[in-house]
Amino acid sequence: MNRRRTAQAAATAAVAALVLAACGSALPKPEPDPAPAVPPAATSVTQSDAILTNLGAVLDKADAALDPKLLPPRVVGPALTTRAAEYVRAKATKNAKKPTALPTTAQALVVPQTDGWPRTQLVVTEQPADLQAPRILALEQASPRAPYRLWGWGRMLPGVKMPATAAPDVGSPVLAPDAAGLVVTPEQALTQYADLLAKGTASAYADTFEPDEFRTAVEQQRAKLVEAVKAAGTAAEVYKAADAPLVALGTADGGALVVGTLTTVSAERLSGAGGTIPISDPFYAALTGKTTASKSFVRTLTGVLVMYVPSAASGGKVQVLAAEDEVTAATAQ
Amino acid sequence: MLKRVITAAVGVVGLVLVGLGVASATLWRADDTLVATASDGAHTFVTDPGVLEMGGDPATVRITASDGAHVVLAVGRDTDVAGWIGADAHARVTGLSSWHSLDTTDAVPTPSPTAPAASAPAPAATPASTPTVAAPPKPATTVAATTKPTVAATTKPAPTPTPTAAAPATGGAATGTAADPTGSDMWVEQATGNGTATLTWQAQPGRWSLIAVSTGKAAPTLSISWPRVVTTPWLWPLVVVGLLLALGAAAVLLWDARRRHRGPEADWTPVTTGAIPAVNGEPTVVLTRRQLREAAQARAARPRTGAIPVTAAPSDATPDTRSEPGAAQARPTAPSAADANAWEPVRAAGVGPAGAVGRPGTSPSSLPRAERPPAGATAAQSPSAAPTGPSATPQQAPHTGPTSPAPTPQQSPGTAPTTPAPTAPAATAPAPTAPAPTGPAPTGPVPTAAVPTSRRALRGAGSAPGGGASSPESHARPAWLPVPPSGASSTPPASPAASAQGPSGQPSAPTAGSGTDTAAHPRWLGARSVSDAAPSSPVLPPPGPQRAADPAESDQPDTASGSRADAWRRAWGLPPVDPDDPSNGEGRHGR
Repeated sequence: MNRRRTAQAAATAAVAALVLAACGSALPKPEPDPAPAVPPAATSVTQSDAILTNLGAVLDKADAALDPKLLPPRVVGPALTTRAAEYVRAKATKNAKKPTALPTTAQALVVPQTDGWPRTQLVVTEQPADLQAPRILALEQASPRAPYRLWGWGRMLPGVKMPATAAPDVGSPVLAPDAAGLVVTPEQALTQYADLLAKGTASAYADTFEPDEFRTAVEQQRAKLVEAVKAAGTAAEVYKAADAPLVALGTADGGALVVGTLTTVSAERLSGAGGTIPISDPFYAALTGKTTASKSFVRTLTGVLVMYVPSAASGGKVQVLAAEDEVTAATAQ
Repeated sequence: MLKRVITAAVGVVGLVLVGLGVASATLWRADDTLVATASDGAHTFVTDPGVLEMGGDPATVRITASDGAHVVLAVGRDTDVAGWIGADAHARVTGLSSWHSLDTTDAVPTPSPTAPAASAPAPAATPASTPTVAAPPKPATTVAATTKPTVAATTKPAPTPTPTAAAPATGGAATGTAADPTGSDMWVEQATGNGTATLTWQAQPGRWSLIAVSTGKAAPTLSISWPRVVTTPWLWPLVVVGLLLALGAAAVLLWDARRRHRGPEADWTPVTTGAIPAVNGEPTVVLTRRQLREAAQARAARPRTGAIPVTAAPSDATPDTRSEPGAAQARPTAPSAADANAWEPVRAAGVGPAGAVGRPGTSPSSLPRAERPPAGATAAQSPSAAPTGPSATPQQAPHTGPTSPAPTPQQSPGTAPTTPAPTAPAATAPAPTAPAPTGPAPTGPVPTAAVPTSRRALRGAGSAPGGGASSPESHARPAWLPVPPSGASSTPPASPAASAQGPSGQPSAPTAGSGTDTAAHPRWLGARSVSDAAPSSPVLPPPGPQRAADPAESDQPDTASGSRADAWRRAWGLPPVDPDDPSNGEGRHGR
C-alpha cells in the first residue's frame, strides 16, 4: 500500500513538474544592443538616398512650375532663397536662364554622428548633365519631426579635392563652431574668409587661406563693377559671413568641413545727380521692378561656402571647396 | 496479487508517461507564434529598444483602430523615435507582462512646445497657400500615398507625400488626438493604413524602436507576433521511459500469466538440498535423537512398497527419498544386516515363531514387510500401544514365565521344531534383532521398568509385544520371554543368549534359508535362526562369539558392523550412529 501511494505521489509529482516545465519557460525580455558610446550616423545611406530622392522630386516639381512655394517641404534657408530667386530669374528671362541644376544622386555622403537636432549632412553629388562641377548639398533636419531639407548648395571649385571623410554608415563627428584643434575654428574660418574677400591680400588672414577660384571670381567681378561705376559714383561690396557655421563635420585627417553662409551686399551709388543706372538685366528688373536706378542699385547675394579647415597639427591652409553666390534681392532707387 | 497490481500500476504509469510526452509535443505544444497585444487607451505606442526583437525574428506588428482611423507603424532608431515623440503623451512598451500581453507604461505628457512647434511653422505656412498644385503625386514615396486621402486631402493636397510628414505633426492635432509620424526621414520601416496596418520587422543590429499611432479617436490595439522555435524536450524522454515501464510491466505480467497457466512446478521442482548423502564420504550430519526418531516413525508409518513418498522430515531426511531407489534395491540384501530396527523384533517375535506356519509359503522377503507396518504402526504411532504391549508381555510372560524362565526356551524349542522355524524366521525377521528387543524385554519382567526407560526401548520392546499382541499367535511370545530371563542384565546378557542361540540357528539356517530365500538370506538366516534356534540349541557357541561380539564389544562391532550399518544409513541419508552417544545405544540394542 505504501509503495502504491509513493508511486502515485511520484506520478503526480512528475505530471506536475511536466506541466510546470511546459509552461514555465521564462518570458522573453528585451535585450537591446547596448547604447553606443558614439552616436550612430544620423541616417543610413538608404535613408540619405531616399531623402535625396524626395528632394529631387520636390525640386523637379518646383522647377517645372518655377514655383518657389513648392520648395519649402524640402528646401529651406539660403537654398530656398536662392532657388526662389532663380525661379524669378528663369521667369524673367523666359527660361533662358534656368535654375541651377542640382543633381540628387550622391557621389559621397558626409553624415553626422549625432543624437540631437538640428542635423546636417553633406552630399557631394554627381556631375550635372551639363557637366558642370558637382554640387555639394547641405541637407538639414532642423527638428525631429522635420524632414531633411536642402539648406544650401555650392559648386565645387575647380582644382579642389575633397578631403577624406568617414564612411557614411559610420558617420562623421560633429564639431562645435569653436572647436579647437583646427587651424582656425569653424566660425573664425567664415569670418576670416569674409575679411579676406573684402581686403584681399591686405587681409591679415591672407595666409590662412589657399587661393581659390571663388575669391578670384568675386574680386574680378568687384573690380569690374568698380570700374564700371567709377565715373559716376562708387561701388562697394560688403561681405558678411554667418556668425556661426551651419555645421562643422570632422574629416578623416582631423580637419573639418565647415559650411556657412556668406551674404554679399553689392551697392552702386551715383555720386552726382541726374545720372542713372540702367537695369537692363530682366532678372534685376524683375527683382527691383524698375529698369533704371537714379540713386543706387543694391544687390544682395546669398552665398554658401563649404570650406575645409585642416587640423592644427597638419598646419595646412583653409581651402574653399565649394561656393555659390547668387543675387537673391535687388533694390533700385 | 499485490505484486500483480503494482506491476499493472507501473505499466499504467508508463502509458501515462507516454501520453504525457506525446501531449507535451502536441496538445500542450507551445504556439508557433507568440502574440502579445496592448490596448491601454493610448493612441501612440513606442516600444523600448529590444522589444521588437525579444520574441523572435521577424516580428510582425499590427495595429488596429476600431474606428478605421489612419494608423501608422514605423520603426526607427530609438533616439530618433524618442526625439520624434518628444514630450507627447504615449504608452511605452517595455516588454511582456504575460505571454499574451505587452507591458506598457504611460509616459507622462509634459507640455513641450519646442520640438513640434519648431517644425510646425514652416510647413504650416506653405501648404495653406498651395491648394492648386495637387497634381503630381510622386511615385517614389512609399506609404504616405495612402495617407493622403484621409488627412492630407482636405487641408493640403499639394505637396509630395513625403513632405506631408511634417504637416501631420501640426494638422494631426486638429483631426485626431495623436501626431502622425508618417513619412519621417528617420524611419527605417513604415506602414500605414486605415483601420489597420501591418509591418514586418527583420531584426537588424542596433537599437530600434517602434512607433505606432492611431490618429483617430478610438484607442488602437497594438499586437506584436514573433515566430517561436518550439522545442519539445519532454517528448522522447517521456516516451522512452514510459515505453520501458509499460513494456517491462507487460513482460512481467505475461511471465506471471504463463507461469500460472503451466503451474508453478511445470518446469522446476523446488529442491532443498540438505546434507547430501555421501555414500563413501564422511558423514556430514548428525541427526538429533528426535530427528532420528521421527525419521524412524515416518519410515515405519509408510508402506514399503513402490515409490516412497517424500517425508516431511527435517532437511536431513530428504536425501533419503532421493537415494531411496538405490537403497530400495539394496534393501533386499540390506535388510539382512540392517533390519535391526525396532519393528524387526515384532516380526521376529510375533511372526517369526507364530506365523511361521503360514508364512513360509509366501515370499518371506516381501511379506514381512507388508505386514510389518501395521505392527510397527501400532507400536510406533500409538504410544498407548506400547504400554499395552509391555503390559501384554508381562501378562504373557507370567503366563508362561511363572513357571520358570527356563521353560520358555523349552517351549520355543518346542514350537520351533514343530514349525519349519528356520525357514520362516529366517525369511521374515532378522534374527539378530530379535534378541535386542528382548534385551529390554528382560527388564520387561519388570514391565513398568521397561516403559519409563526410553521410548525407543519401549517401542522396541513394545513393538515386540505389540506385534505379538496384534498377531493372533501371542503364544509365540513366550518363545521370546525365555530369552530375557536368560540375560538378566540388559544387553550383554541378552547377547550371550543370542549368541548362544545363534549357533544353534546357524546350522539350521542354511538348510532352510537356502531353500527359501536368495543367496543373501542365508547370511542372516543364520542370524535369524538364532532367535528361533537359540533355545533349541544353545550348544553351539562358535558362531556365537561373532555375534556376541556385536553387542559385547561396543566399539569394535561398531566399526565392523558400521560399514554395513552405515552403508544402510547412508543409503537412507541417516547419519551413522555415534558409538559414544548413549542415545544410540538402543539402536545397537535393536541389533
